[in-house]
Amino acid sequence: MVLIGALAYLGWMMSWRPLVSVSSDYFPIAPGAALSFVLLGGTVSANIVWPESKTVRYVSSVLMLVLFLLLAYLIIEYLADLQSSIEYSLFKTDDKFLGISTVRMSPLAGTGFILCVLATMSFLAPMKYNQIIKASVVSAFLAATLGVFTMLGYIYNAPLLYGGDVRPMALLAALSFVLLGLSIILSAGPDYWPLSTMVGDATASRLLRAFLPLTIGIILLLGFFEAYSLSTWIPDSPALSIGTTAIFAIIIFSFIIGRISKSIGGSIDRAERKRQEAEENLRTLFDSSSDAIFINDPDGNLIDVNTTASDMLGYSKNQILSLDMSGIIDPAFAGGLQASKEKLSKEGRAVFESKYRGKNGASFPVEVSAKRIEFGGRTVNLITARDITERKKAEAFETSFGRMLETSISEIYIFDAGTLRFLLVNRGARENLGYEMNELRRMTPLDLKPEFTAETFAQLIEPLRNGERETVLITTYHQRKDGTRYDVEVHIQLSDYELRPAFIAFILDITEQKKTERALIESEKKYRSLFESMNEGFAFHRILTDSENKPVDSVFLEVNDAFEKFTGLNRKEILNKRVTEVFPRIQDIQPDLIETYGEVAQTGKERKFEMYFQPLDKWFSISSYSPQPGYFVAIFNDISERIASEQAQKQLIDALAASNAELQQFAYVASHDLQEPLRMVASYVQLLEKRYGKMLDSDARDYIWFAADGASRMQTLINDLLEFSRVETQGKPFLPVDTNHILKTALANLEAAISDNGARVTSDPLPDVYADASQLTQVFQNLISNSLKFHKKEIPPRIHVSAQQTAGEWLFSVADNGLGIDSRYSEHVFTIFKRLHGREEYPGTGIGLSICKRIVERHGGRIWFESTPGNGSTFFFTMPTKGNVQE
Amino acid sequence: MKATRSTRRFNVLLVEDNPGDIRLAREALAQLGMPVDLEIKTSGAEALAYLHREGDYRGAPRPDLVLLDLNLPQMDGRVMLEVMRQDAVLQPIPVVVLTASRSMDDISSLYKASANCFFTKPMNYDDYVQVLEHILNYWLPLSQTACGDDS
Repeated sequence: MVLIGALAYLGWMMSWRPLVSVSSDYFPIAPGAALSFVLLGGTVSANIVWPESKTVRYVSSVLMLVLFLLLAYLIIEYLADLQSSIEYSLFKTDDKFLGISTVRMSPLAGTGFILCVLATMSFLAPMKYNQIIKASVVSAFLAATLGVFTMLGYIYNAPLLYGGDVRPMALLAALSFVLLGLSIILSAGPDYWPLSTMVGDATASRLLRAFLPLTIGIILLLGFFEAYSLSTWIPDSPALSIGTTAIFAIIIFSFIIGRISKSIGGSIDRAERKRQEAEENLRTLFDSSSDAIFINDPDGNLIDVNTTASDMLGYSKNQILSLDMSGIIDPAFAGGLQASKEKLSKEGRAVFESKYRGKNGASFPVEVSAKRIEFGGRTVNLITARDITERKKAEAFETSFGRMLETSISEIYIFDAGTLRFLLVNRGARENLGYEMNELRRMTPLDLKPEFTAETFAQLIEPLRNGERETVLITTYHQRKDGTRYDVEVHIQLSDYELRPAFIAFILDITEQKKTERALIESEKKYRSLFESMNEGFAFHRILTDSENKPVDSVFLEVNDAFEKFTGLNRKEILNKRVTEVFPRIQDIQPDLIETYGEVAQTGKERKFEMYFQPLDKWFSISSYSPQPGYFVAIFNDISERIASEQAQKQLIDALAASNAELQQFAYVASHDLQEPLRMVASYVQLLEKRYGKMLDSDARDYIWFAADGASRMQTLINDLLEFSRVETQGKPFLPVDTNHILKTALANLEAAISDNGARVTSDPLPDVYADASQLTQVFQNLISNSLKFHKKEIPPRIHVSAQQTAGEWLFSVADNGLGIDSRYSEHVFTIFKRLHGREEYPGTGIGLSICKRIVERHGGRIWFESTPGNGSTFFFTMPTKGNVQE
Repeated sequence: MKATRSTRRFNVLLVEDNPGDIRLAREALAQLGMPVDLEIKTSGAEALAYLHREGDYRGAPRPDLVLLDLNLPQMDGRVMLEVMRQDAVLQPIPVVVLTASRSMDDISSLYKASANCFFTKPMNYDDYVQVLEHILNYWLPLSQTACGDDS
């Protein structure tokens, strides 16, 4: 088009006709019009090629404004019928066509140009002025229509159509207007009329696309035919011409209407079918919704409900429709819905909770979503209601349960199974840790458990992930925000939280537990050290039984240091080993050992025993108990030394007893066998003196006397010795005896000596004791006899016997007013055959006190004396009271 | 009834191994001047053979009294006493035990074995003579009684 304008303008410049007019029969294009075309075409082209360039738009705007002013002036010139057009001054030529100057452009072309300039506003105006753009495109359409009409004028050879008698428009200009207008319409896009009516899926657009070109084409053809036939074939019969045209028109329009009916009617039928299908689908959807759906008018009258609604309420559809919403909503709840109703009428939608009451009279909570919609040409409320009974229950449970979790003083953590980040940490935990929930959401258990690394923690929870275990339990410590730590026992299990897999960690009652644990640790420390430092060997065993539950072996589970010391076994080498592994022949050597321990482990009965353990060649004193069935503990001491010393002692005692027996036998034998030769000596010395005494001198008789006296004393000694030995050999069993009676017997035996010495013997009441009566008599007799014997000259003996009870024994005393005994001789006096006085002064062998001592000691008592020489002496002896007597 | 002095001699068996005691018994008997023939046997076995009139002792007189010492070699006096008491012939012969022992055990065991009398040998000669006199006077029918005649 630019090209056409440019060529035409060039043609004017060069005055070459073929360039300015299509054919010599046609009117040439005016030079001004040609220039206008160049400017307009350039502007349109530039703006299509560079739509974003501001420079192009600015320059175009200026050009269009100038052109608009020039064209407006031209139009005014025509209206004012001025002859002195500026075109004459611009293009100095007097070329004429059919007598009309070709320099001036036609006023029609001027109008077209103004429309075109206005049309350029479609791309020069800012996008926001939508109305201006719309108007511009309409201008373009008008310009193009102008061009079409002009071209039709040329084609139908009807000059009135292209300027009439005023000044015609050139065909080239008309073509240019069509092209220019179309370009602008196309460049404005399908959003603007008239193009907007042509494109898209709308049935109208389709029909327009289908029939507009056809209709225009046919009508053009018909017009051309008629114009041609009128002027050429039948110029004399306009009726025929009109009739022919009518026939053509009837044929053509019948065809067009047939096409239109088929096209539009078919599509209407299809649409109706589709509408019906859609309606059925919609009904199905409506009914199959899991929510109850009610449709009512703004006044509350129900129009429709779905089957879910009747299922939910237990009424039939028609019953519901007759009830209306007011009959469904729980009256107790109806008042609370006012705000929701207001919201619905104001905002067009509302979501709220309500309560419905079904046919059975029970009301249930529902979640209602109400929306105001256009339905079937009127405004209605679409109400969907969902029974939330279960959800309410769950919510109530979750709310109370959640509150419990939250307020529990136990620490509860929920963390994501994938990222391990905390999802929920309850208040107890947060307060203890010092973290806020928003901090914890970015943290994982690793941030609280410094003992764990990502790897070790992953290992810990792996059994939960793969389902091997339901819960894992660890004991570790948590680090608070302030860096302090506390011990925790953590139970972790896999569950889900808010529909995603999550781990839940419980730390139960940690305060008490920590306290208890601390105490336990202390106690454990205490007992561990006690256990390790105790002198007794300690061994903890599990008993092993055969199929008949008979104990056959045991396993070392724990031993202490003392155990190692006593047995020489190493703890590491025997722990978890069987006793028969450690002592392979134990069952053959000491079959009763495992039996004994087995009994302890099975009956729980404690046993204490001493045992020689052959494999170690040691004696042990063992105390065994069972802390729980099937287990036993043996606490033992090595008593080998004690046993050895006991055995040595026993041997010594046996040897002593044997020696004692031998000694007694000796004393007995001596007393017999010594008597014989002694009797020979005494008898024959006497016989010698008797037969030959008169023949012997006094010296010889003295010798015989000494010999006889020696024999006699020797006999006394032998008899005393015999008596001494008889304390043991001839002793009688201890029986209860009345000491008063004993004393009486003794005094009776001593009657002669008492009366000879003028002595007085007194006594306190004396107790009953357990004793060998004859021996006890002898004790009193010997003691009193001594007192009678060792009295001071000229002072008659006074003797007092008394007794008093002391701890576990009776203390007897025999006190005299005699010579007294120097304490130097305190032991001496009780030794056999020891004498303190000359034989001539106080006769006797000195056996008396020795026999007393032996008798008292046989009775389990002691004997001693207290004395001040010259001031008498008191002999004391004790006799055990009944119950303390040992024989 | 008046006891008449018997003219017959009595046979007394002394079972004693100690020559000192044997001599002492002979001296004492001699001093007492009693019509007693003293037969001496120094062992229990020999004494029993004599009592049973075995071997060389065929025709030996039955003793009127046995004076038995306890401490005998080989056969103890106690055993000999028991044997005599189990023999119907020897059972009635009175046995007087003379011993040095003063043990009550010895004494009671001898009485249980039916010793007729028990004497501890006195320590001096005079006492010995006196004891022997008492024994012989008591056990021998020196003053004949109706029941004492065994002929």
